[in-house]
Amino acid sequence: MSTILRTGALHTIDPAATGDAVHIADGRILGVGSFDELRASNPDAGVDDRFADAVVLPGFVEAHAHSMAGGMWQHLYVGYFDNRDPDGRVWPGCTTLDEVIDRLREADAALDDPNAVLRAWGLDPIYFPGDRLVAEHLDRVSTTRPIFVFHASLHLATVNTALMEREGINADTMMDGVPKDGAGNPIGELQEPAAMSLAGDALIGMVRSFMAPPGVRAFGDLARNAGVTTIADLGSGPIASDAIAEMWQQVVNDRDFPARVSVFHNPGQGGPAGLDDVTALILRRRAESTDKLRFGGVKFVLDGSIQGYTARVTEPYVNGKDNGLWLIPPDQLAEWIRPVIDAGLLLHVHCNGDQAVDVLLAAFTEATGGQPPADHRTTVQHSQLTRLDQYERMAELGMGANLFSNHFWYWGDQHVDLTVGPERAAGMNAAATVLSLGIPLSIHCDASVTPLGSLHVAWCAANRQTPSGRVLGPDERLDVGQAMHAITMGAASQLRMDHEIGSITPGKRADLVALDTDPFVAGAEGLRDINVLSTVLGGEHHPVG
Amino acid sequence: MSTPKIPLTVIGGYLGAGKTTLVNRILTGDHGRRIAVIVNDFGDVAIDEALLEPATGGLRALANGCVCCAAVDGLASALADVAALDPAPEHVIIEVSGVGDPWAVAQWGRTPRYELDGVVVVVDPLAIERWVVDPYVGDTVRAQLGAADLLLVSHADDEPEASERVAEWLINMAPAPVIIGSDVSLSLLLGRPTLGIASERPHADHVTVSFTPATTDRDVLQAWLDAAPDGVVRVKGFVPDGDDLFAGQRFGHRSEVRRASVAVDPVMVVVCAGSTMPPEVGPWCARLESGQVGDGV
Repeated sequence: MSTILRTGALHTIDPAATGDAVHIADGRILGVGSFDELRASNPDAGVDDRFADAVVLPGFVEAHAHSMAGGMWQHLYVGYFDNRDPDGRVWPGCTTLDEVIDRLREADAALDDPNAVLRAWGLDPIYFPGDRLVAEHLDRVSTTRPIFVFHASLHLATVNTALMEREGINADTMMDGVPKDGAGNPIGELQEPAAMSLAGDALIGMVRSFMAPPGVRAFGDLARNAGVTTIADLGSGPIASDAIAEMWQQVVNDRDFPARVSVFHNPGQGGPAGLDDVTALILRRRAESTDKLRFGGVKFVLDGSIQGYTARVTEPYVNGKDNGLWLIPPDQLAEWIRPVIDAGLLLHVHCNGDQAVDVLLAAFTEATGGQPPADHRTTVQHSQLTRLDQYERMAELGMGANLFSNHFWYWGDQHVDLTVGPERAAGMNAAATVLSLGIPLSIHCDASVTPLGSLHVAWCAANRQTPSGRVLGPDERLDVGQAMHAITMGAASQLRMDHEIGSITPGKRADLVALDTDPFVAGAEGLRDINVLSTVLGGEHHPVG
Repeated sequence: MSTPKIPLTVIGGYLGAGKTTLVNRILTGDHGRRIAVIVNDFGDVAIDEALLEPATGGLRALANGCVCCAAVDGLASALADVAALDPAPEHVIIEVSGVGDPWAVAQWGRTPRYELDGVVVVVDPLAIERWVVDPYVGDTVRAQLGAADLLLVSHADDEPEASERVAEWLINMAPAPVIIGSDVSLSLLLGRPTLGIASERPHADHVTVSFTPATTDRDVLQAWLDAAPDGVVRVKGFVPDGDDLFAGQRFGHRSEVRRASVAVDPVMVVVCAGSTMPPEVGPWCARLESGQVGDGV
């Protein structure tokens, strides 16, 4: 039995498919047209009126996220910006350290077990210049319960005195990464993994909860709430491990899980060290793919982040910080990506800084002899500071760009004032340049780095506005149609799934999103205020939480 | 007093420097010491299976400095597994990725079950002068050199002239002592086992002196270590102060005093590079032996 889905307005992102209704059977789109025509030609079909007042688009596609974005919500959110949890509750941002402390106090009071660790996440000290969260603040929450606050960077944590006493972190602790006060006592900040490991189970228990099934299910809920029907996990846990691969299968292949997931392998997170072994592993995993769960992508991380000053940049950071970090020796990259390209696997490479893009372009040219295979879909992830000359070379090589446009809102002012300065900030995430060169474009949130929200990142790419009201590089703004394409077909194409998702096209999967407002009516300024009502995945409705 | 801490040495250096060759030589060497190696490079954190086969089981994942769950969990788990071996290894080595920051990894040597021995950075004499000015990795390589407690020039047999020249150049580049040669002794590389577990055959690349130090407070011990004459590569020992016992250690240019984790007799072992003891070393040792360290150090 087939169904005709009647909509209030329909945007298919397929110029050949127009109308106000979608004909669906067996999880696929049979036809698109006017409701009356579809009804007349399919008299036996049922009618679904649930979206009769809604605006329907293809389900959004997020080509860069991390499943821990779901798992983190098992712990208390203390980030600076408003954020919505998997159940749909909006947690207001904590914009002062006092607000962080107040939120921790509420959570402390709500915990029954007096010895349970209170774990929180999302704190980014870049928003509190001149102020620093230390044990003294957390001791105002509790002097008996251990408290662990994971910073947004995941490179730092702040703990209270009760936790330090329990774990033996004291004046005798001699470690870089355990800063001390004038009297020689630790102030409660733990920097980088070795120092953070001193927090013992407070940290390890938290990190392990990120990759457990409830966290991954919450990841699906976040996707649904954002209108996302296909999401890429760009490296959360090593899928070399059968246990982790099976966990993905068990959670995502469940009929109730509301999204398709493309799970990438990041060789930097574990797995075989040999190049041929990595390729063989991913080919084997790819064969285990289902209609909802996809393996076959490989992601490499070349540098760090701009706001953490770990991105590799050609021109120095304006506040004098040292250049960033390489996570792969530049001279080794060609050797690493060659077997991935040769095997026809999907290759995505994290490059935040322009120097990282230089290295990738050289390595890709070397690995392919300058003649890449047809339709390779190699994508530069983040590509935030990529220069025009680099985009021209990417166009020649047929590479795509998945831009981290959410940065304008979350760190745009910091990029002007602290990291790369006004000129480079204005050229960041140069979406219009990408399109003008014919480079495949998508835009992403990198959840949990920023909250998952396709309409929010579309708003960012279309407005390039910072919280203080600056507009960075107005010429690089996308129009609404370009932004909608980037979060549907653009992302689907980079995941090599554009033949089955990304537009409302007969033959594709019936993956849809229903909105309360038409993006083309709301205009660029209004995109982030649109509410998602429901998604449809393979014909099944998933109303938002 | 708790379980003895396990000394941890980090071996770093850029691509092709000779880290793996060095590690393999240590693992296959005829030294009688039980040494575990953790390779912190791409892919899994590999624990050397030949030595530790029964206990490793599933190897844990890790990112080489990347921000992710595995980064926190991986090396922590590998180090916990190694510490749990029975009998525990006498020494643990972490071999770091070519772009890894050995000093950051060395901080794991200050986690509860370990004591940081130090950082050895391996240098390829044919490539190092190019790497330090490379626009992409120059800063990374210079930071590695700066993090070293001991710089080891590799490929010395094949390239004796380049090795000599680069060794001279390194002395001005980085604060650590420079050793040339692929056949470096374990006494220089990992130190002598202070607790006398194993002995090493005499080796021409170093001389050792040991003595019983007098009771001294920890600040004075620190000052004495900081004043080590040139040519002293390693110092390690235990010094009493009333009811307390302090462990003092120096490797290269970096010295450190902490409360001892085991009860042992006072002893101090000094290892110097080369075939003869530098003349300043005897008087310097005598000051700690007699307790007359004084203000002049």
